[in-house]
Amino acid sequence: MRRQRLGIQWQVCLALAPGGLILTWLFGTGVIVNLLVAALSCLMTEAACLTLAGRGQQIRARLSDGSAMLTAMLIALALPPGCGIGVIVVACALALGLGKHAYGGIGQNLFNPAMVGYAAVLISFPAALATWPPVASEFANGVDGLSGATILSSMTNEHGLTLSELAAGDYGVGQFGGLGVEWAALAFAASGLVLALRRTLAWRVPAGMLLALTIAGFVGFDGGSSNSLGSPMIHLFSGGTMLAAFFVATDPVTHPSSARGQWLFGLLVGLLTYLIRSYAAYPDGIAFAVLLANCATPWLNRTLARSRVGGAADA
Amino acid sequence: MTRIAVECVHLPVSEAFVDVGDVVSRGEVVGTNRALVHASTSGRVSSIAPRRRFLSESSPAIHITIEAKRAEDQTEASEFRLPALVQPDSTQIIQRCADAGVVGMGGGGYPTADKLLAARGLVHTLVINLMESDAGVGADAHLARTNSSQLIRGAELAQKAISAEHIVFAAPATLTSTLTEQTDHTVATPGVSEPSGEERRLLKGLFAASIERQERPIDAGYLVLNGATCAAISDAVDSGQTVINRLVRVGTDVLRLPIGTPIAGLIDASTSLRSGSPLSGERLHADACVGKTTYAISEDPRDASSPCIRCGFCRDVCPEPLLPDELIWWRRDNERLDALSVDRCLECGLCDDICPSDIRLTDLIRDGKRRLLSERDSKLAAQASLARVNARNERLAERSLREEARREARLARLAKKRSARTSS
Repeated sequence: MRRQRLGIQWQVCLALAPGGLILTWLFGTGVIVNLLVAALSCLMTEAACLTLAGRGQQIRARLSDGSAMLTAMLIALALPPGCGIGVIVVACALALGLGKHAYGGIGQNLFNPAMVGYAAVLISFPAALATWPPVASEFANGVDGLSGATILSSMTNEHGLTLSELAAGDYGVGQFGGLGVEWAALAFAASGLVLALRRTLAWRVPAGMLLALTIAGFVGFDGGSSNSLGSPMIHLFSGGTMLAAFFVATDPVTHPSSARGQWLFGLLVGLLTYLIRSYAAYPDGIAFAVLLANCATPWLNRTLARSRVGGAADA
Repeated sequence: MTRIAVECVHLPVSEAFVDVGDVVSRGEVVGTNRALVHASTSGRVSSIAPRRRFLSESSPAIHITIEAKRAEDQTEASEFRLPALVQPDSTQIIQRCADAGVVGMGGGGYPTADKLLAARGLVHTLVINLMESDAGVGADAHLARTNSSQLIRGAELAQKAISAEHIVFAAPATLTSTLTEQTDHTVATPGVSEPSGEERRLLKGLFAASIERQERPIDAGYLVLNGATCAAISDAVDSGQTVINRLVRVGTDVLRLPIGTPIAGLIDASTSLRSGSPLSGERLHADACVGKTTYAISEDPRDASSPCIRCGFCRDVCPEPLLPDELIWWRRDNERLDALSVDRCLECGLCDDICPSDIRLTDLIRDGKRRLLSERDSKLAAQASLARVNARNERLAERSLREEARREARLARLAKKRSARTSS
């Protein structure tokens, strides 16, 4: 295994492209606008923070390592297209300013910067973030009058309806996940899998997260009544599950570094996501799940770190 | 072979057998440093003084500096040689290794005579280790390509010295065909991941032999010698030449250099230099010289590291069960380093290779390891000295008690005498 030419952060950025293209196809140019605005504000925030911290000479190195760009891409893909330039700028500024540089810059932060920014605007501008534009009609399966409801928001808000009624109506239910976005989820999962196989990201984190979500989904699924908490498939292929599993939770800085720690971290994110989706006011809870699991990282690192030493030599 | 002309050489010694001003000839003994040290050029001893070798050295070693005679006076005839041995027996070979100052030239530097003596009768397989970190371009590869007969001859002499049954040449795949043409001995490529040249890994890869950390390879019946060491044995026995030269890879060339050649003139040192691999080799001081174990000198690529992002890649590649990221995080905390078994680090440099932040982990870990070990040494020394002081105090107390008792007995005797006199 040799050092890879392209930095790992850039590889991750590149791997986001297929899913991003599908989202653009679904939602139109709003996705591109999101990306451009987020990239610009993240790079500017990064440069401004480095200057403020007296590390001006590092600006070029830090901007070219791809970490700010990755945060930008994650924020851009998490925010609904057309949510407003202001919202994106605020999310990016908070992500890098508060989530990263307040802790001392790259490698020092406790929380995933992109999720800090996303959670901040989710709480501050709930209306802007709840409104996803309708998906292009090719995906609508003959249902017209698209309201922009998502499968998770429908499950949270339309308590009176069974799953099959939701699927028959205009509630954002697709063939196996969220309407349309299921295809983007599939793309994120595919490119994430490639990164995991190339060992660019810690595969145990997405494995743990998806495993926990699947098991919780099975346990909580009652066949689709009006009280149903959604099938495992819906949980896996809706909202930001795949994006978060392969690209957000796998941020090396904020997940534990030991193998067992990564499993536990992944399982925790999956479980928390399920609980928040099912029992809390927010339709999707991934951002909060990741941030809460981030809190456990230092503890997991400290408790499990020395497990490899002291045992028998394996060499 | 053209001889590189050097103006002066600097030889590290623990004890010098010559004085400043002495005139020595090439090949002559001038001091000792675990093994004997020989003058690598004819000339005059101009100083015996401390000199830096490595950047992370706790104290500089004493070096004998010899100012070389003019190049035209450095003839073969003026060189001191031991008498060549014809059909030597085991003891003669081992004695000759000691006399010629042969040491493990792959990096260990342990006197070969001591090693052979310890291995005599215990070892069934002699392994000649040609696995280098700079596979295919290093000094040992050069030796195998240009002078394999000398390499094989040295190996056979060592085999005779320890009466081993087999010789196995452990060589990278690029060298196996060259060697098989030259010798009937087994030539094998060990099937282990890097660092494949590390003794225990090598034996595991060749023979699936697991050797405990407390065990020496000779306890399991194996002795591992490096290629350059074999060449030195052959030189010492067949032509009586002491260890005064060695092959060194300098950048991309392999040169035969006198021991003690200052590195400063060899390679453009606009950046810093390392002994061994460019990333994980020991960082050389500007004053450093070629030593008996210096198999390569590399230019140090510019340090462009960024902060650790704790990706954990270094844990995956580490051949030992270590946590390199934790080791550099706690590098200033001796207690933690000890708990993290820093002394098990092989300094193989695989973590440097993989690190996405380009962090020089081996440098940082080596510094921590050094500090911990030197602290441990000084603690042991302090304990020993405390024990000596306590023992002395006890002896003194005992003696004063004895003297007290004797004095009292004398006083009692005196009093008795006096009372006897008064009563009479």
